[in-house]
Amino acid sequence: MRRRASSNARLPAGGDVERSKILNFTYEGRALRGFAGDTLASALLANGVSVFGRSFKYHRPRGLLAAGVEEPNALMAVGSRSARRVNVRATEIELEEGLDAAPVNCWPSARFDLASINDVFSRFLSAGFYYKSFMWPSWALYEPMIRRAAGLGVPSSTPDRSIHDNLYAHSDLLIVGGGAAGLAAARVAAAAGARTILVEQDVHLGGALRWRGGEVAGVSARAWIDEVEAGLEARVRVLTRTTALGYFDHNEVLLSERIAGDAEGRTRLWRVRAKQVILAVGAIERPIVFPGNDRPNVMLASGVHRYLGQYGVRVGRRLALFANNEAAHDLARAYAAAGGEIAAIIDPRSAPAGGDGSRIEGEIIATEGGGVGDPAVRAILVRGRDGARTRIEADVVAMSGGWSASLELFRQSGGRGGFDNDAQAFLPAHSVQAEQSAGACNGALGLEQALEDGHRAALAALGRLNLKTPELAAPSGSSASAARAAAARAHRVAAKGRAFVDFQNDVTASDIELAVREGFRSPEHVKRYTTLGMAPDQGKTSNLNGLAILADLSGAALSSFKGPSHRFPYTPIALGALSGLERGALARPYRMMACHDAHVALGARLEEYGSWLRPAFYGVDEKAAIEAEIDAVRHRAGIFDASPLGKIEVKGPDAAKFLDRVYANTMSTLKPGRLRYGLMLNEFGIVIDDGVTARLSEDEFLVGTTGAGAERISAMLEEWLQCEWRELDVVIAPVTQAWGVVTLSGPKARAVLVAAGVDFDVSPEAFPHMHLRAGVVAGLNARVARVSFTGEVSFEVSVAADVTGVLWRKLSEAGASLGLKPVGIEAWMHLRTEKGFLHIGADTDGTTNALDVGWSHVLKRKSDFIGRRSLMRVADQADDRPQFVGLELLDGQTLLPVGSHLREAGADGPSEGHVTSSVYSRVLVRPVALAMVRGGRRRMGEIVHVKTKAGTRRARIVTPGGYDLEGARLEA
Amino acid sequence: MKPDMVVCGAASIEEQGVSACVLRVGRFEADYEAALGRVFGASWPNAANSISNGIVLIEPRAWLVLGRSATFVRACAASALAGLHHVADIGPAKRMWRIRGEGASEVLMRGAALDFERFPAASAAQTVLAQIPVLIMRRGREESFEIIADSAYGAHVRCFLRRAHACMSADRSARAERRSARAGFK
Repeated sequence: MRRRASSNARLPAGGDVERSKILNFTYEGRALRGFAGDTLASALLANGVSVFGRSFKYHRPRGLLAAGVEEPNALMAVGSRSARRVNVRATEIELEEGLDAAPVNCWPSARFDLASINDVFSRFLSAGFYYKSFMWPSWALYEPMIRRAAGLGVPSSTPDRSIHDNLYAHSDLLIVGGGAAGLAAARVAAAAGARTILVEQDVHLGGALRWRGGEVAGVSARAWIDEVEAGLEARVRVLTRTTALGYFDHNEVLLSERIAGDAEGRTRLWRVRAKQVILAVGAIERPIVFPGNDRPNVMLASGVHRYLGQYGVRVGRRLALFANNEAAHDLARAYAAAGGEIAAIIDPRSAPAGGDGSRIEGEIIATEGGGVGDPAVRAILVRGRDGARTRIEADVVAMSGGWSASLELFRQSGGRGGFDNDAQAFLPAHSVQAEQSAGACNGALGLEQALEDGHRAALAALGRLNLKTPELAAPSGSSASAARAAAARAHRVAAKGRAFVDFQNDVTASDIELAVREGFRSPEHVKRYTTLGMAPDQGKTSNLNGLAILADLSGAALSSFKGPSHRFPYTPIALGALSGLERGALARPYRMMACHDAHVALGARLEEYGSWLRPAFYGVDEKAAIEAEIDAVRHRAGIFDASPLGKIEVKGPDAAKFLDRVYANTMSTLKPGRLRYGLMLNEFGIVIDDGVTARLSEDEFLVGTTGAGAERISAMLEEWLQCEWRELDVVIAPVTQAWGVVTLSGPKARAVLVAAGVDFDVSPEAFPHMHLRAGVVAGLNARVARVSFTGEVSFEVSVAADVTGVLWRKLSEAGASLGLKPVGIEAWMHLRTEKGFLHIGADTDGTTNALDVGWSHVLKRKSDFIGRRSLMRVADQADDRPQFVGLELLDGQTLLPVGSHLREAGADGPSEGHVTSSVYSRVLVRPVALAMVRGGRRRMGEIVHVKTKAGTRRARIVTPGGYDLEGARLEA
Repeated sequence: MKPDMVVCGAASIEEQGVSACVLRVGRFEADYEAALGRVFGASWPNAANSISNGIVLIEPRAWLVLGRSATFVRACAASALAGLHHVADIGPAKRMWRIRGEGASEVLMRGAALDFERFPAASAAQTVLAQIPVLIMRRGREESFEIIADSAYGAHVRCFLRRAHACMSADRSARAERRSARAGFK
C-alpha cells in the first residue's frame, strides 16, 4: 500500500456519500475511515492510497483503472480467514463499518511484494512462455511451483456456509441498466402499466448521468433521475445493486443482487423470465495503449470523473488528459471546477474536432513514477506530432481511447453484431430473442441519443406486448459533450516500452505482436495464446484494443472480425450464490419413510437408496450390527421397513391381458389372493425391473416394483396404455406412498405376527407362501403378503402410510420377547445373496436380458409381451452371453471383491465375466458370490480364476445361492 | 406424525394432513362429467388444472378430490359411473401447506419457476418446488396458496418454507428500510 501523507483527495462537498456517517475499515491491516456511500475503491482513494494490488503475472504495482464493474486491477479479499471472499472488485465493494480488505495477488503487501521479482524476468515470461519452456527434464518438476504461483487470492479456509437467496420472477418487460436510456425506457413502461423490472448494478439509478451532469427535460440530470425514480415507485420493480450475469434461452435473464448490508456478502439470485427485454447496459471506456499506461494513477477518464462526481474524491492534483475523443474533455472541465490543475490535454488526432488550441497534438510515450516505493505517476513524456518531446509533471493521467458497447448479454442472448465504423465499436445488429438494445450499448453515446433510444425501445416493446403506448414524449437531454462524438478509433502509441492491453492478465501489445509473428491470426487463437480477455475480467477494457492491434498487424479490417464471444457470467459469482437456497439440508431432496423417527431412535445409519433415506443398519459398529441383524433373521425374526417398494394398482376388465403384455411371464393365470414374481423387460428384452404382483380380484392387481423403479415403471405402464394399447379398458393408479409396508422375516415371524394380533389364520396350511390376505393386524386394517426376499418365512404387512409408525411399534413390542430385531438394507441384501435371489441393478446391468438370468421358459409363451421380439433374435439367445450364476470359492474364506473379473483357469484371455454380489455367509460358513459369466449355465462345475488385487482366486461355477436350496424354510 | 408447522409474518404458513383421493375413469362414458357433478354436488372440472369445489383435474380422466373421505368418493363414483373407475386414497401419503398473506407469492417464488403474481384463481399447477414434485393450488382471488406434496418429502418442504419465509421477511424488511431511508434522504 502506498499512502500519501498529504493526501487531500476528498472534496469538501459533492458526491453521493453521507458525510455525516463515518465508517471505520481496515486495509492491509491499517485502520482507515470513509463515508457511507463510498466503495472501498473511493474510500481508499480518499485516504491517499494509489497502489491497489499487483498484476497477475509480473506483479507490477497497479492502481485503479476504473470506477465500476470494468475495473481489472483492484481485486480484493474481504473478510476474515474463515469467511473470506476473494477477487471482489474494490469498485463494487460497498464500504461498511468494520470492513477488512486486502489485495489478493501480493505478499506481504501491495507496496512491497516479493513476487515482483517476476517483473525483472518479464522478458522470459512473454505470451505462451509456458508452452515453450519447462520441458526439461520434465514438466512435472515445475508444475507444482507454477500451480502455486497461479491463481488470484487464497479462498476461505472453511466451507462457505452462507445460504444465499434466490427468486424466480416474471415480467412483461425487463430493462437491464438504469442509466439514461434505461430510465427513459422505464418511464414509458411505467406510464403504460407494463409489469416491469428495472435492473441497475450500482447502488443508485442514473448511471453516468448521475455523476457526469447535464440537463434532462429542462432540469438538472439529478433532478430528472429523482423525478423518474419517484414515478417508478410502486409501478416498476427496481433492483439496484443488481448485475445481469447471464442471458439464456426463452428470454431468461439471471440477475445477481448484492444484499445491502449483509455481513456475509450474500447475494440474491433472480431468474427472470421476461416477455420483452431492453438491454441498456451502456458502454465501457477503452484505455489507450501506450508505454507505462499501467502505472498507478493512470486511469480511464470516466473513472477519474466518476470518483469526482459520485464520491467527491479528486484523484491527484494535477491532471494530464490523454484522449482521442471529445466526450472525455468533460472531465477536464469538471476537474478544474473541483480545484484541480490541468497539466495538459493531449490528443493524438491531427485535427481534433472542436480543438481550442490548448491541446497538445501528440501522444504520451512514457510515464515516470516517484521512485522506489512510490510507483504512482509523477510525470509524463509527450511526443508532439512534430516529434518534439516534452516532459510534463502530472500526478494523474486520465486516458480515453473511445468507448466499447457492452455486448456481453446481447451476445449471450444469441444476438449477432458487427463492427460499426461510425461508432468504432462492435454494435448489435440482429436480435434472436425478444430483446432490444438501447443507449450506449446500441451506439447512442450522447445523452440526447441515449434518451431517445431508450424511449424508442420501450415504445417498441410495448407494441410487441400489445399494450397501449402512453402519450409521452422522449425527454430531451443536453450535456457539455452531448453534441460531440465520443466515438474514436482504438488507439495504440507506437513507442518503445511495455504498453498494456489487458491489465488483468498482463498482456502487452508486444505479446500480441509475438502471437502474430508465430502465426496466430484468429482472434480466438490469439486470445488463448496470450490470455487476452480471459479470467474474471473477460476483456471488458481490453477486447477491442486487442482486436485493433491484431487487425493492424495482420492487415485485416476490424470489421472482418465477428467480435469477442461472451459467456455466462458477466461478472464472477460465488458458487454458493448459484445454488441459492438449495444448500445444506435443501441441497438434494430425500424421501423419508413414515417411520423415519423410529429408525433414528433405534440408532439407524441412514443412507440413500433410490432417493429414500433408509436404514443401512442399526448401530454404530457396522460389521457387528449387520451380523446381528442377519443372525436375527436366520434364527429368530427381523423387522424391516419395506415401505418404498413400488405399488401400482391396475384395474379393469383388461387388467390381466395388460399385465400379460407388460410382464415377461404370465399374470392372467394368477388366481385372486395369490402372488407371483414377475420380470419386466424393455423393448430390447433387457430386464428393467422385477417384483411380486398380487391379484386382488378378477379385475384388479397390485403390481410390485423395486423402490427405485416405482415412478419409472408407473410412467412406463401409462405410456404403453395411452400410446399403444388404447383398446384396453384399464386404469393405473400408483399408490406406493399411500401404503406403508413392514416385513417380518425369520423362523419366529409368524409368532410375532400372532403376538401382535391378527384376525385370520396364518398357519402354513391356511396361509401358504405366495398368498395374500386382507384383515386386521395389530388393530389396523392391513394386507398381508407371504413373500420372502431373505429365504426365511416372511410376512409383508401393508397398512395406510400414516399409521405405519403404529404398526412398526406394535410389531416391535410384540416381538421383543421373541428376539425380534430391526434389520437394515445391508443385512437384507446379504440375506438375499445367500439365498441366490437376483437383484435388478446389482446383478444386472443395461445389457442383461431375461434369458441371461435364466428365464428361457418365457420363449415358450404364445402371447406377446414387451421385449419378446428382441429375445427371439439369435444374438439375444446366444449361449455365450453373460449369464447369472453362483460362485463357490475353492481357496480360502476371504470375500471376492464385487467387480472382480473372471478368466478361464490357466488362460490369460479376455474377461469371462464378473462378480456382481459377494458376502460371507455366517450360516453356510463360507463366502457366497453371484456373478455374470459367459455361458455360465452350461459351465456348471467349471473352475474359473478370479482376478483380484490380492491375487488370483479359484472358484467353481454353481447354482446361485447356497442357502436352503429346496426352499423349505420360506415355505414353512 | 410430524407436528404441524406454523409460521407467521407477512406470509403465514400452516401445515396439515389432507383427505385426498384420486378418481380415475376408464373409457369415456357419455355425460359422465354431468353425472359426477350431480353426485358430488359441484360443477365437474373438465379443463386441465382447473379447480371446482376442491376437485382438480390432474391428468386426462383423473381427478384429485380433496376434503372428502375415500368411502364417500367411492360411493359417489359408483353411483355416477357404470364403467371402469378406480379410487385411490392417497391422503395418508400427502401433506398440505397453506401459505397466506401478502408475502405468500414471494415465499413460493423462491422455489418454483411459476408466475405466482399472476397465478389464476381457481386453478392448480403440478410443478416442482425446491426440486420436489408438488401440486400448488389457488382457490380464490386472495393471496393464498395450498401446496400438496408427498409426506415423504415433508421435512424437505418444511425446511424450504422456513428458509424461504426467512428470506422473504428479510427482503421485505430491507425494502421497507430502503424506502424510508430514501424518503428521509430526499
